[in-house]
Amino acid sequence: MLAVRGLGVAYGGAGPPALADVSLDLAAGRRLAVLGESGSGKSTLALAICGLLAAGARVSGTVAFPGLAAAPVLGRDIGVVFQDPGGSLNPVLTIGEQIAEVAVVHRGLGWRAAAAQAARLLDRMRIVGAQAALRRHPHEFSGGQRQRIALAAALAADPVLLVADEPTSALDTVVQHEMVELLDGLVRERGLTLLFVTHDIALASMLADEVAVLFGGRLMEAGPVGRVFRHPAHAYTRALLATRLNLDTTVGETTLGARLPEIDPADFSVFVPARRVPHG
Amino acid sequence: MVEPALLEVAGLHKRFRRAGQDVTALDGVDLRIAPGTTLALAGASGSGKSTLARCVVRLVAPDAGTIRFAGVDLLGLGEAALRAMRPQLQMVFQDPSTAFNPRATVARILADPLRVHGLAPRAQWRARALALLDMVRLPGTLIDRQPHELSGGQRQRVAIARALATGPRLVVLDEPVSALDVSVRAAVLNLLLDLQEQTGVAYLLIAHDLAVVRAVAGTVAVMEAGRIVEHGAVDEVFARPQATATRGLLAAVPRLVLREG
Repeated sequence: MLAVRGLGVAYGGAGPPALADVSLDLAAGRRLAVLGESGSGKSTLALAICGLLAAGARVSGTVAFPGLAAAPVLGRDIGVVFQDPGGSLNPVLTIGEQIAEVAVVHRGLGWRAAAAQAARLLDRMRIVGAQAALRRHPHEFSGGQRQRIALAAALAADPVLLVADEPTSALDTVVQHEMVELLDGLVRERGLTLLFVTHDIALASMLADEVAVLFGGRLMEAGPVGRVFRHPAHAYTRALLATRLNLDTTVGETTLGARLPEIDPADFSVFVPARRVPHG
Repeated sequence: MVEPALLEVAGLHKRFRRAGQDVTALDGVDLRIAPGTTLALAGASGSGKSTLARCVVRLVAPDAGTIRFAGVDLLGLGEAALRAMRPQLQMVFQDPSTAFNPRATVARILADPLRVHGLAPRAQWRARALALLDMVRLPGTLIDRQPHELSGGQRQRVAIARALATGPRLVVLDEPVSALDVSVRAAVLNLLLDLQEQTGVAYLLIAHDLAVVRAVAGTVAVMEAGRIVEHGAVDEVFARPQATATRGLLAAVPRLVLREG
């Protein structure tokens, strides 16, 4: 479905490239998590795949779609959801217009049929009162609802590839959990190929078959989620796993003096710092 | 024996008018924090935890109820008395990039509380700012930088240093690590633990992520629809959650799934 070869992206200025020499493959029907922190290049990679890089970006290497007969059209063949649904939804249009428009433009549906499809999609996204919701505007919905509406719009033209760039990072954990379950169900029932950008190692493990770990614009390692997280080859992946906060991590009042393991950014080694005693 | 409370909130109510409708943000909230301890307020968006935190630092005035801080009725204080109390009661916000005047230098950001509260003569501001940077483990070379020249983790350390500049007895931490990269969260949480042991400051920690609560808080209060629906030692509450809201929050924590292959 997707073949990225030696991809490099540099924006203006003399700084280091946003992405350097990244190669990876994503087979049809598979789910890939692109895992990284700020500055890792994970969003640049998603934008490059969608053909949405800023005009001034200098690009080397290739992004190809071997499974498609022609170059993919964004919105028709590739659906996109961003972290901030404000970036995907137009505030002055009703959500019905926005979702239906995707099917009208890309699939040649009539407006009536497109609106009926939009209502079905909203219902599938668990938006209560889907028919009435079509006539409302984005600001009338909560952040979690807006993100599900953006997902409905991304899927309205029945794309083969869904790119989701941190779709749950602006949501609280409960709403995030609902969104993750919804996304997981939709990808399975529609047989979608998924590229899921995240900073959360646990979300990557829950939603993806494969993971690509990025740091500083470079690919640290990639492979099946089970193998990479059981037997990480790169020190950075090992450090992320070793320092992940989870429900078993207790160091505060209940374990006085204990500290959380930290990552040394120089070499990704993991250390538990000594507690600092009062000075002066 | 029950330790005397540093903060004691009773019967707090707050309603807002939003889009022509009355919304109950707080519906009778009671809580207490002992000196030098951490109480976490957990809950989903809209549960009222941020409104409660804003009432405690008096950014929002409640409709009814009492807030006693260090034995003083906080809501009964006039302007001047409240200003005199401010140094003891500080807040750190979620997004360090919006919490500062973008054109101020770190030196100015850290000197501001000293200037506003008259805690140190001008001649000492720079030395105090350098000492605060050291306290939050930032190099003194950052002192003349502006917020946009710092990383997210560095900015949040500056925000913590600013909150501690006045020697507070309580700091409200509103989602202090949720905007930070996962690899720097542990370091900021460790810093908060160190500072608590060094200064005896108490924390009211607002968090929707129970893994963060678990890591640093001794006690947790779970909020839903403006009420505290469960309250107790973190170990107890997480091991035997009673309220539906607590179970929902626990179930929502992402878990590492290690599949074969």
